[in-house]
Amino acid sequence: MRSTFTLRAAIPLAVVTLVALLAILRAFSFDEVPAILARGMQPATFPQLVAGLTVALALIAFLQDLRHPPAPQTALPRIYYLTLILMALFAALLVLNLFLVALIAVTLGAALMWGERRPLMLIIMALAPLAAIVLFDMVFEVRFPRSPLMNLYYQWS
Amino acid sequence: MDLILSGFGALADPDLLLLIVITTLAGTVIGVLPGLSGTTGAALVLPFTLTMDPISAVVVLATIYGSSTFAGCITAILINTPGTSASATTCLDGYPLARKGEAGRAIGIATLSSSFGGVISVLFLLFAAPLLAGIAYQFGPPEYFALTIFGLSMLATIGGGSPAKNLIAGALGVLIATVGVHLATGIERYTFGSDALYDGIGFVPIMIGLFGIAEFLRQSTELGVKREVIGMSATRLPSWADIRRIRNTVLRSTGIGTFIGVLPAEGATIASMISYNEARRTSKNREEFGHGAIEGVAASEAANNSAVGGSLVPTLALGIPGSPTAAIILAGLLAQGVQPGPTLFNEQTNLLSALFAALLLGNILFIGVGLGGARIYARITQMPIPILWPLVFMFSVLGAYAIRQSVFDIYITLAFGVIGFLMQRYGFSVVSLAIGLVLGAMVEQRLDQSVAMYDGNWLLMFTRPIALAFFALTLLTLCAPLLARWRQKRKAHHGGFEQRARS
Repeated sequence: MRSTFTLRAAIPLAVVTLVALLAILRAFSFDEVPAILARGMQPATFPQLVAGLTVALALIAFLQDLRHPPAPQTALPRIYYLTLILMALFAALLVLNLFLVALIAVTLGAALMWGERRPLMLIIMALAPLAAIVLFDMVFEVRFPRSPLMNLYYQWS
Repeated sequence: MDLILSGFGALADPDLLLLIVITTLAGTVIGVLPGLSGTTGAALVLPFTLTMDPISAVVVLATIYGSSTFAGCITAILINTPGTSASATTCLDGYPLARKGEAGRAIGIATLSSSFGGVISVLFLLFAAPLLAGIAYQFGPPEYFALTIFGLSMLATIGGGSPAKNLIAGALGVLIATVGVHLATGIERYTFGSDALYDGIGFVPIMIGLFGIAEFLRQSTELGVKREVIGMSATRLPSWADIRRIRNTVLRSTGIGTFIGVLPAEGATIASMISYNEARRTSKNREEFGHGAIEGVAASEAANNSAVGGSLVPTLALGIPGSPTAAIILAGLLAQGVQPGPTLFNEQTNLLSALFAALLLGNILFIGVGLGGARIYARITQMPIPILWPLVFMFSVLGAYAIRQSVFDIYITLAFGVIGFLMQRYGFSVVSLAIGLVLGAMVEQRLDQSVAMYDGNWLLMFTRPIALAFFALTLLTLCAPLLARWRQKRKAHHGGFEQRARS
């Protein structure tokens, strides 16, 4: 069965066009280099060229979608949105500098949400971030943002 | 020949030898895990390689690339889920073979075909890359600009999506590469006054986001998919009768795979698809395809592994990635301060010889790894998704953080993870974005130099024959879908006309 074109299908291309237009507009605010110093192009020229090309391509893709509408997307499952929320929680905990807690929240939270129920596995998922941090600290000498938990770790190590 | 000899000299270093063995095993595990492709694996390993010297880094990335491409066949055969997209066609005949109780034979054929394809393509890389690099000595900025534009135009042909959407993704990648200070003038662009954006957005956090986090999100939408696992006890080498039957297929597929690999942006997935179709078209046992034809398994696996060596030819000689994973290797080389291109063959002979030797050794190791570890891999394929993917998420963010020890890079990774997922969902290729990003700085720099060279009269670029040839190829690539459609219409029109004439 041939699918029909819906405005909803045009949203991704509209977003691309908007981003490209904003890039073009923003490039007008870049500083200009005096002609004597600018041997090649001005700093704004190339991004404007590329963003302009993007707008043109988005128009072509839109016309193609009009002629051959893409198949409608199936709705995303609830678990996807929950996973997205978990990622947002992770980002929020990072803002609070709670690096280790953020990692545990994701590994344990995602395992639980995605259906893991075995206690031993859940314990492993809760401890995995700590093991990974020890690995990164000891082997790659990576230093992590300070937080009460990380301070405890650094005192211990 | 000097490169081979010094390469095997490099293998005398026990540390490097151990590294190759370990990364071959690690790459095999990556390839075996469903959904975790060689590209994702290379993106995850990339931050760790930045702590290594350039030789070890490139050896690790290239070995992961080769071994994960090989190992994708194991899941394709045992659970009908390609471990990497390049093994998708292996499922078509590998899984039916496994269901007939011939999983061991299928893996044996896949292993031998992969190893043969891989070795031949590395030998091709060894001879073709220096030749291409020699030609590239004649290139000036206009030729490089035209070549890069040609590489970007090839994005139109990757995957099964719309060429326009692939090109949009590539253009967005180039646009993202302009963020940060403009090196030629020192002017800030799209930094919004943020110090974190002054040096631009790093390749690595974006790559990890596009290939690691986006896949994590995609896996969350496929949790209900049940996989039927087929047990097996051991693999076995193909019989002489099998070898005679697949001999021509393997040779042809190796040629196709190597050639497709050399083309900018085209990778193992396309190589295996074309080879599979070609094997079916030319086979005497055409009706067996899709029901367990050993030629189908051999064609797919010989092609995808031979594309690995092929894809590194333009990557090393010209700095134009031949595949998505080659784009990550290129990013790794650039991050190490190694500039691919013709000078690489004079200035970094140690690095190149170690790379060639690692790829050759890796391909030979597949035979032992593939045949010996089959039972273990059969178990790894059963690793539960709710355990595997949260761990991939954890290593993704840790890897993104580790490079500059910056939390901002984690935000970039998360953002590009969501962007990558949405792009895939709406038919935009994330591979195009990644390649556009890697080539972005190069294309601007070459255009800038060309404009300066001709005092602003950029039209003079078309007076240079090599540049003109690349521009013509670009035009041909972009017009190819239109030409194909026109030919199809013409054929249909003539067919209809002949039918009417007959009736």
